[in-house]
Order: sequence, then structure tokens, then C-alpha cells
Amino acid sequence: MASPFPYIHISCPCNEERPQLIAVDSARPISPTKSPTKRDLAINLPDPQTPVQRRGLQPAVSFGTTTTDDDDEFDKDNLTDDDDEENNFDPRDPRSAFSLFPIENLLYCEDCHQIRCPRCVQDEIVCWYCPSCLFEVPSSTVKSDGNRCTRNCYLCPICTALLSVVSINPSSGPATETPAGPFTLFCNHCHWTTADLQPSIQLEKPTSISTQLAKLTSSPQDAEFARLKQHYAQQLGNAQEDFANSPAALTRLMGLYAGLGSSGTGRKGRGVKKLEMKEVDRPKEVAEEREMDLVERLARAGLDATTNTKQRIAHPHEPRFLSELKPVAVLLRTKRSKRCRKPESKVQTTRFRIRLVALNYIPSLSVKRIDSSISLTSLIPHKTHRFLLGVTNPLFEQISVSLLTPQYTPGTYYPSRVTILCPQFTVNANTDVWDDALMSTKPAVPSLTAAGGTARATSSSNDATVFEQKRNYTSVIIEVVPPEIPDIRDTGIHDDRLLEIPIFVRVEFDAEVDRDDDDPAGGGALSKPSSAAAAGTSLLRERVEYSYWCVIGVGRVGDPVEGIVASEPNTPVRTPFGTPVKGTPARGSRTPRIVRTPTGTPVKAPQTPAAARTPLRPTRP
Amino acid sequence: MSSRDPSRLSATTTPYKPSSTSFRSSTSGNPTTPQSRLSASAFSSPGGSLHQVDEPLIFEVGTRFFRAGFANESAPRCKIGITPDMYGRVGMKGRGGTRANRLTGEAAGPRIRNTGSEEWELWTNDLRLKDLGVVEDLMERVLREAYNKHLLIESKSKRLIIILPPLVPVALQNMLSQLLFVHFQPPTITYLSSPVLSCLAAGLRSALVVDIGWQETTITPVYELRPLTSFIKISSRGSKSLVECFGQLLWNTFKSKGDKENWWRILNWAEVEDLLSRCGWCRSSSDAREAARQRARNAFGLPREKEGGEDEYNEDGEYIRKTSADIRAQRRRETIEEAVVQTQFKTPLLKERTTSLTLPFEAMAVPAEYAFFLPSWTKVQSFKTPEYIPVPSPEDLMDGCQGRVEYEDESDFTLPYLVFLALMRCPVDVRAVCIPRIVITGGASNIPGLKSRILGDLKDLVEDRGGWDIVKPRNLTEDARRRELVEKRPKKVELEMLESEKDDLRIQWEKIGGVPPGTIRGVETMGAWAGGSILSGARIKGAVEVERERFLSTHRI
Repeated sequence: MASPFPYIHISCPCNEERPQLIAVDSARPISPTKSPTKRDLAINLPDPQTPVQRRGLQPAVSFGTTTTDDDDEFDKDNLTDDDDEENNFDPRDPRSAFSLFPIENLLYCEDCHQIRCPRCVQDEIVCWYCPSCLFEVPSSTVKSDGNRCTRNCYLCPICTALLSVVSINPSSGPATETPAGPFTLFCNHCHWTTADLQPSIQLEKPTSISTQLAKLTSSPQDAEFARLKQHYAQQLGNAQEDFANSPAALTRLMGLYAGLGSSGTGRKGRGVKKLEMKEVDRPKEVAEEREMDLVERLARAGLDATTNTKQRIAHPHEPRFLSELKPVAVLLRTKRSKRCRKPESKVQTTRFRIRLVALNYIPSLSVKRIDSSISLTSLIPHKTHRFLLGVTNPLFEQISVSLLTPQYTPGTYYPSRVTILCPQFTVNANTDVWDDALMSTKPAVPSLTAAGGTARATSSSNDATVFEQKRNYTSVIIEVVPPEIPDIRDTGIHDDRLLEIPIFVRVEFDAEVDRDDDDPAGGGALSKPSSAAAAGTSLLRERVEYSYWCVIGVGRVGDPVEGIVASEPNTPVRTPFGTPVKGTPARGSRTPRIVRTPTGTPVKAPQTPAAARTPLRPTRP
Repeated sequence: MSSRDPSRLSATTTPYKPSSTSFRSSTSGNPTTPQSRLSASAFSSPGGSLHQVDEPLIFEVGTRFFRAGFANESAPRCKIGITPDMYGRVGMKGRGGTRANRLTGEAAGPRIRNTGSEEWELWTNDLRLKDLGVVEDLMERVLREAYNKHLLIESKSKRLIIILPPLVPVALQNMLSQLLFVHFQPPTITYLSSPVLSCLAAGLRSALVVDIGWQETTITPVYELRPLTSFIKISSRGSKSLVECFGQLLWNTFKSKGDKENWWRILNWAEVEDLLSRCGWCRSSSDAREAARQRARNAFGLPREKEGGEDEYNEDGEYIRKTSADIRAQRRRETIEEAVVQTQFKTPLLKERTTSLTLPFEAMAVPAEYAFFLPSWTKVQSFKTPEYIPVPSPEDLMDGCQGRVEYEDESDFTLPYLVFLALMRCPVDVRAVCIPRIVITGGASNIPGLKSRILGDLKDLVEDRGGWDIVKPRNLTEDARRRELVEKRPKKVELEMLESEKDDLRIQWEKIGGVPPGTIRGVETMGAWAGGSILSGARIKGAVEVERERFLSTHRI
């Protein structure tokens, strides 16, 4: 079985800037099990138009590089609120499942310099089309067609494969001869055919199936609905005209109704008398006999003749038996353009229309294990696992990346210790591959040396360095020491053994400010700053910075292995089964703080004999 | 044949309609004739299409299902069920990693979410333990799917009509409005209460609406299209308890002794629910009474009564001729007795990956008994025990099952009794109108036999109690005997006259399309969604509309 690990999900920042709900006062009692969160206590909620201060930036304030700062911050936090957990992104929080996306699903708004997920964009429908025959449907007929294809695209109601039209009498003559009717719809996959239905559906022509089917299929529910509708239409005062289509009758009715509303309930005016409504004539009664007949039919037909939930939901009136299923016309699809929802959008502007996916803007992360012998589905407790965290830059600018992670993974009683060896580094621009080759070494060497220089400059004091640096790719080492975790996955809802590391990624780069809205290629101007300068526009460059949380699913912690034991006092030690160590990793687990790792002092990865450091490779030129 | 005629066909290019009666079918006076339904001129008038623009969307928000569609159509365009997958991340199946077999420890497929009911529902009524944010996120996901996949419409343009259960928490309603106005930006939202619309969709103006929902059953009297909210009765017996009873029965059937595991860890909730919705049924009132009598005999150690035999003669020794209906019922009973249901469940955590069960079809009626018709303290047995329902102890029978629960609440009552109580509490005028208009709706009401069972039991109950009296008469039979001794017995001729008078009355009532007062009668409804569709088709502006700008300035409904 293919291992799903490792995976990387990115949390959309809209998760944090969303206006929170205010139905707090009386309607939502504060839960007894959870300590009240900010959400519960916030009464003065900001206007949704002005975003809340992004939580993503708050940690930057509390990241004290010195320990004293840290402690101060921590104490303050402790006094005011249980705030640290709020600051850290917790991948185990049930809400986070809704804001985490693979990078492929994300978009990027060039105007706000922000990641946009499917939840925080506004969709605008460009056109409707049938996914089967690929015909575009004009918008005027989409709704009246029931959002379905009106050509000959029908799906099997049982297996949802495409139905084909076949003749009942397979022609024995030459193939050129057009087959003679009647025809049925036939599923090539499960061999379901409309001839099996009760009563069977046979078509006279192999084309315009929708028209023919509409004549042949009518359900009793539709008739009942029509009867009711007609009844109410009559009651509303106009038996001849349908109230839905007659504006005159409509306005009169509205007047009547409004009069009723204003005059109160007790008065018996003329209008009220007219509105006196009767019940429908002979409503359909519940009959025991009918229901018992259904039971008998069920007993006789057996389980296999009934529809399952999926088949039932796909049909408007939820048929109970397979023989009542009808061919399903293919549901249309839409081509949609996305627009950033951030500003109160004016429909006409093309501004804030998202052009490219996030993959083209934000650095993509990748995780590899260094030691290929470790199994990701059973990481060994107390052993230092080293992974290679690679950052690939899609931009044509050099970016500087800083990675921050809580020292202990949050949200669980069994936190793993995580250390990023070189949290700040740069990734070179995504220059054309051929640039290097064609321009020989001229641009490549200085940029690389500069990059290497900066990387070293930031990290030399901390004795950590990047692991590998390529054209637009840099990788650093991340060390993980999982604790020993009792296997309670069969009893607990949460899988404590799943090891997910939240990482706060901050990216900074210089970008050109002045970019025309009508510029067809969004990234084009970015790519050639020199040419833009040559064109005469003032080359304004601004520092762009954005940040987001991402979650790396590293693997699952396995059973403990003999010989590898906790080497540090505050890592959780072996505990009896089923009793979570509540207070053992004292502050580390309950209130994980983001610390800038490695700061030289105590956060360094534990040096266990089993995980002897491999010498780091030098940066490749 | 008109369809053979090519010229005709080309003229009537009727597009496909899944619900063939929408606004079109009712454009003519007689909607049942296909000719008028298909006539193109009837619905291609410019007026019709102009009005189409401001037709609202209708959403029905339930605990398990979300329905959405357009006004004037007979069925919603989509029905989206909540599954645990929806609580998961995009692009990740299950929860990461694999799960292991309980005994062998081998990998048993991806770690899918095998949870209790909480991840199969949108919200719980007990919001103390539910993070409203999660509800909001999930709701957003569901709405987005409805808009983008099924409705295919831009959300900004359409007014909304949202049908909510009568007892939805205000916090949820606020959340829903907030979510819609911020993310989907409809101009206005109108909230409607589902019992009123169920009543409307039954063609009635007053009714007692029994909504057997997922979390709970709510019994709402509706009088002249107004819900009488202060007379609502609630019971926690609902579809959820139905599925839970069934799952427990199944797990009890094949679990090894002493295994304390929850059934929903072993069996997939969806599979259990699916099986129940496919072949679950409910015994008829008379059958259930007979079964209860047999159980009572069993409790006192009496042998089972033979069927047939004595039934042919009544108490006076007269021979009862079997009517054709009796014969039919007999044959039906035999069919049901013979039928079996063969199923297979995926049980990846057990030693066997799949567990096959062959159950008698009769057993499929048992979960409904437990969920709706047995006292709440009845312990769920397994399909291996005879009769599937525990034999009561003689003490319980003697006590009349009193005093078993210390603090009895309405969830302990059986459903028919609760309906009785609800009617009882109503003002007498409302009761008089509601008794012949009982509308049973909700997810579980689709189980064949359930509606007539509730009504049948209610009839029996009223008969036993001798009418609608708050004080339960203790000694009915004595009274009857005394009356018999004292009163003069009418002659046979008089009796017949009385009967014929009654018949006349009945005919008279039928002529005006009603039922005699006091007759317990159930009325079928098309469901709250169809009611909303009818109502919005009538284009009456809602009395209470929530407007976007106003809501966003106050954040309160």
C-alpha cells in the first residue's frame, strides 16, 4: 500500500481574518469542558469589512529572541488569556481541517499579496457546458433545463456510466443501414437498460431523447404537486390564471395580503373574506393498506431490488425500487472565474480577478527523509529523525524565507519535539534554466555567491547552515523527536500517533509596485525588471511580505523500540497504556510557544547516540 | 402517434425537465394533460421569463441533509447528506495513515473516520459541546457544493428562502445568516418554519405536524397556518435513535461475548443506515398488539397461542367468514415470514474483513419498535434472541410499566402516546381541527408502515382511554357493565337506524370533503421543501425578511 506520508497542507490566512461570530451572550453557553476561548469572550467584534489583525503576525511580536523576553511574554499571556494556544496553529483543531489545503487547491491574489483558498474567493460563472458532449449551453436556458444537458447525454442511474442508445432489434443486415427502432438506453458498464423498467421505456428515434423521455416519464409526485399548486392558485383568487405568471393577479394579491396584514386579524373586511381559504379537496390520506402492500413488495423483491442511498438521492423523488429509476441527464458544469472577495467588489472591474494559482507565487515545500531506512508509518519514539525540508521558489525574484515552528507540536498530550536547524535562508530566483547555460557564468555566480553569503551571514552565528542550495531550491534540515505514544487509535477519536508539524512560513521579496491592471501577463512584468526599466517606467520596488501556516504530515509514530529511551528529562517517558501523561512535558506541551530555533541555547536537538549527526554537506556551488 | 410526426417534434423542442411540473405545468388550467404541458407557447412568454428572475432559491437545512432548489419545482435540485468525509481536509482521504486490525494488528485500509453520529450531522441541539465555528465551516462547504455543483447560479443574485426546523437554536440561525451574507451575499433571506410548510404541502391549513427528524421528533400543532409554538412536544426518539438501535442489534448479533466495543467503531454508520432505509419497515398496529400479547403470555409462563383455529369463531361462537382482505393479510404475513435479507458489512477491525448476515425480513421491523414504540429503558437485544424483543417481567406488566424511570420525561413516552399528549394539551378547538389532520413527515416517516402504525396505536390508545379525557378512567369495563345493567338496551332495529343515521352523517361529511370530527386521520404531505416551493411560487413577500445591509450592520437577526 502506498504510504500517504509525507504530505504538506497550507492553511489559508482567511482562517484568521474571518469575522468571528457574535451569537455569544445568551445563545451560546460557554462550554464546560473547554476553557472559554477568545471567540467566546469577544463582545466588541469588529466590523467584517475591516479585517481583524492577522493572527499570523502576532507571533512575530512575541517571538523574543532572548529568553527573558520570552518569559515576560509568556507570563503576560498567562495572566491575560490562555492565549498561546490561540497563537499557534493547531492542526488537530477540528476547524483547521477546513482551512488546510494542498497547494494545488490554492490561489493567490496579486493585489492583496495573499493566499486565497476556495473559501475566500467569489466565483463568477463564465459559461455552462455539458461535461459529456462538451456543448456550451446558453445561460437563458440553463435553469429551465434543470441544469442538465438536453442533448443525448444520459447517465445510468445505477452505476452513473454514460448510457448509449441501442436498438432493441439488433440489425442483422449490413452495418451501413440505420438500425430500426424502437430504441432503448443501454449501460455498457452494468448492462442496465430502460427496457427493464416497469413500465419499460422505449424510444422511437435515436435522437432528441430528452423530448421523448419527458413524455414517457411522469411521476405521481409531480401530479400531486401540480394539484396542490393549482389548488392554491385557485384559492388565491384567480382560478383561471396561474398566479405565478400573471402580474395583474399578483399585484392584486399583494394588495390583499398587505391589507390583511395592516388591518389586523379580527376584522372581516371584504378582502379578508376573499382570502378565506379552503383545504385541498380530498387530501391524500395515510392508508395502512397501501403501506403494508409496500412492505409486502419489499419482502418479495428482496434487498437487491431496492435503491441505495446514493442512487436515491440522485433522483428528485427518491424512488425506493430499482425498477423506478430513470435515466439521469448529465449535470452541467460551469467554467468559473475567481475574484478576490476582499474588497467589496464592483462587478465591472477586472481588478481582483485572480489569474494564476498559488503554485506560481508561493514557495512550495517538500519533505524528504534523509535516512531512507526509516519507515514513515512507524517512526521510532525517542529517536531523532531528520528530514529534508526543501523550499522551491516559483518567483522571478529572490525570496528570503523564515520558518518558525512550535518547539513541541501542539494540540496533543504527546508532543513531539521539532527543531529546524536553519530557520532563515534565501531561495534564489526562478531564472530561466537556459539563462545559466547561455549566459555562461556571469549572472549565475554572483547571485549564488550572494545567496550563499546571505545564508551564511544569517546562520553563521547560529552554527547552522542550509543543507543544499540549487538554482531556485534550498533545503534545510528539520529534526523530529517523537515521544512514546500509547496506541489508542481504536478507542480514541483523535489519532495521537499521527505526527503533524505546523510551520509558520514567512516570505519576503522585492516586487515591482507599479503594475498595470490591464497587463495580460501578471508575472510578466515581474520577470524582467531590467526590460521594464528600459521601457522608461519608474522602477519602484517594494518589499512584499506574506506569511502563512502550513502543516507537514510527517508520519505516524510507531511502537517503542528496545534500547532507545528518552534522553532528556522533559521528554515523556514510557507510560502505562491508556494513561496519558498530563503534566509531564510541563509547559512544553500545554502551552507550546514559538521559539526561534535554534537560538543557540536549550532548544537544540537532543544528541542521542542512535541519531548521530551526519556531517552536513557543504553548499553546492 | 404524435411523436412520429417529425414536424410536430421539431416544433415542440421541450427541454429535459427532471421535475416536469414546475411553473410550466400549471400555466394551463389542467396540468395533467401532457399536451398542454408540452406546448411550447405556454411557457415561452416573455412575461414568464421576466418574472423568473426574482424567484428565490429554497434551502432546507436539516441536521443530516441539506436540500436546495428553485421555487415552483416539485423536488429540490440537490440533496446533500453530511458525511464524516466532509469534516476532513481537502485532498486527504480519511485522517492520514492507516488503521489496524484489532486482533492481528495488520493494516486495514486508510484511516477513515469511523465515528459516532456526531460527524454525520451538521449540528447538535446541545450547542455546549459543539464548536459553532466548525458548524459554520461545514455549512459553508455544503453551501458551496450546492451553488457550484447543482444550482449553477451566482449566489449574489438570488433571494433565499430558508426552511428551518421549529426548534433551531438562535445562535445557529445567526451563524447561518452571517455565513450567507458574508460568503454568498444574497440580497435577502426569509426564514420559514418547516411544520407550517409541511402542512401547506399536505394541502391543509391546520394540522398536527409530527416531524420525525434526525435528532428528535417534534410535534407541532399548526392552526390556520400558524405554528402554536407553546404546544410543541419534543422527544429524543428520532431517526438517529432508530439507526443506533439497528446498529446495536446487528453488533449484538455477531459480537463475541464480553466485547465492549461500540457498534459504530465496527460497522460503518452509512452501511447500517443504508440497509435500514432500504428494507426497514414497521409492523402494523394489530400485528404489534398481537406480538405484545404473546410476549405478555410468555412473561407469565403461558404457552404461545396458536394462530388460526379459534380465530374462526368469535366469542359468541359464530363462525366468522374470512373476507378477501383477511386472506390477503394472511398471504402477506406469509410472504413476510418467508423473506430473508442477506447483507454483508465491512468490518475491517474484526478478524474477518467482511461479515455476512442472513436475517429474516421480520427482523427489519424491530429497530422501529425499539426506537419508537417500546419504553425507553428497554434493553436492546440481538437478532439471535427469539422475538428480538425482551420478554417483560410480570412485575413490570402488573405495574403497567410505571415507576421505572425516576424522572420521567417526554422522551420516555412512546411516540403514539406523545402524539396523544400533544393533542391533549392543545386548546379544544385546535384539537378538534387537528385530530383528523395528522401529518407525519421527516426522514423516518419514509419507513413503510410507520405512519399507519403511529395512527393505529393512537386510535387504540384513544379507544382504551375512552376518549379525550385528561383523567385516565381506571375501570372502563366495570362502567360499561354497570351501564349495561342500568340502561335499556336498544333494539336491533333501533341500532340499525342509528347506524344508518351515522352513515348519512358520514356521507354528508364526505360530500363537503371533510371527515367527521374526532376521526383520527393521517394526511400525506409532500414535505416542507415542496411547501416552500409552493409558497414562494405564490410570490407573497415574506413578512420577515432579513436584509443584507441591515444584518451586516447589526449582526443580529
